[in-house]
Amino acid sequence: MELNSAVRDFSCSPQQGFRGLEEKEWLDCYRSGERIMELAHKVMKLNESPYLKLPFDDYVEAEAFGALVVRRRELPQLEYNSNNKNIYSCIPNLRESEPTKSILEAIRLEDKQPILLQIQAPFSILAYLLEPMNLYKQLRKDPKGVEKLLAQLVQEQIEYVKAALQLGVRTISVADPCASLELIGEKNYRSFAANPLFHMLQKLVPFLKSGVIHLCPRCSYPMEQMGYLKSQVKHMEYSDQFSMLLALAEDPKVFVTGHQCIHKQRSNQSYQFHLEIEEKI
Amino acid sequence: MKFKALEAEDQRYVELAEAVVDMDEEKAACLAQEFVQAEMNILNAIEFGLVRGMARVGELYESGEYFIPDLLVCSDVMNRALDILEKHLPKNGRSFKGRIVIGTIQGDTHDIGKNIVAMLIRSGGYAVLDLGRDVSPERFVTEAVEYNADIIAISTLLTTTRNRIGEVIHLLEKRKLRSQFQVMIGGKPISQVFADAIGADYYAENATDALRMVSEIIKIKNKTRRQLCQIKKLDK
Repeated sequence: MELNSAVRDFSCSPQQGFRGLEEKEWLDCYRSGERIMELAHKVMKLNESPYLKLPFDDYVEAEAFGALVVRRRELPQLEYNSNNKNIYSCIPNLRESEPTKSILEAIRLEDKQPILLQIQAPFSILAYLLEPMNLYKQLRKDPKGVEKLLAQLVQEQIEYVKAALQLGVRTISVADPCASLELIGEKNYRSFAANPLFHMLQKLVPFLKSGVIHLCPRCSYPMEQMGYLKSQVKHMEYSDQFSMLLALAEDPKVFVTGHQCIHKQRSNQSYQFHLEIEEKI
Repeated sequence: MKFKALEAEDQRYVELAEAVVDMDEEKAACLAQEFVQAEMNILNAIEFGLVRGMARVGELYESGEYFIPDLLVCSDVMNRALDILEKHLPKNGRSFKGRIVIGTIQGDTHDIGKNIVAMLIRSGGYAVLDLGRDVSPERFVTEAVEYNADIIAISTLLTTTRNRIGEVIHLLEKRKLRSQFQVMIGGKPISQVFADAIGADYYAENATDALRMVSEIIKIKNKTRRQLCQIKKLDK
């Protein structure tokens, strides 16, 4: 399938967000590890899900890095500081900043239910930190600066995921909703979306002996088409995505999977792609 | 980036157009200063330099050679030169080809697409009033009347908010203003079928399509105006 059409033809499954919970419950959802776990269990029950899904929205890493997130509505919103220049000078430690610190604390508290940790790819985190029109200009005007910043974000992401893995998380899902080939073109996509994500995956592989990273199809298709990853079909007999992911986490040869949406509750397909990270690009 | 110059003076405008396409902000600013100092025709500099350059940028975007980052930087280059030139416009100022009110419909805070459309239309030589995002149907109508707009352009990214676009049209009809404005809509959940269903005049598939449609709408409007003038003259 041609690259653009593969991405274009894939349609997202809707996320659950906080639907079903009361407003007062999600306004301070990241107050503490205990609070996060209490809500995560509630959401799990409401959605009849077999696992705990953390965090509750896409913005936690960006928030820990300094983005302003407003959780007034059912789905949280970002409020951009005009030309947020501070992020160039200081990248906070994700493990020590809120709300990611409390998310790790929540993971530490849970010892029964399996957890799916959802993280954002570096380009999307940057798009939550810098107003998109400004970010797109910076890709042209200051590519080296953007690359340097992305490298710092990647480093922090790696440490954050490693901490989660050490606390017992075995399934991690990565999405990159802001990286659009159609908007930024292949050259920019490679430099600012695919390269940082690939670097992050490479650095995490040694820590995935009993874990697996799932890539959203919007990342995995372009990454494979551009030669960063190679897919192999693995026939499996599981009716839902998460059970399949848990089984893949057990497989010592599988580190990265993708090409199917993580939010899809059930899959008619009895196979799963697993992705091999290419040694050389 | 090479353009064909028609005469010596045009060659200078071509240089400005090339600076826009090549994203050379310093060169564009220097040329604009030179034009002002040499007392060249400022309106021509804008039309045959900046607008021509951005038209080429639009073509390159459409052909997949340029992408959004390129488009935005070219627009910055154009705006830097425009700031210099506009201060020296003749008293009656710059005349625009048409007037457009644009915004993202109420309930929707996504505005990247709308911003790009606004930028392209503005660089095509049209006056644009950008109402921003989360704009109520009432405000679309009020602002369009006050701005004396030719076109109301409405965008949305969400399926949940697209039905509010119909409310703008409904409000125009209710206030007997429908024939005064052409309504152009666009965005991810919008299609020609949807546009037809709510009674919008035009559906733009993407930013360059929107600019092309604005140009067509204004041409038709001007032609109708001319015809009406001729009829009035004949009546007299």
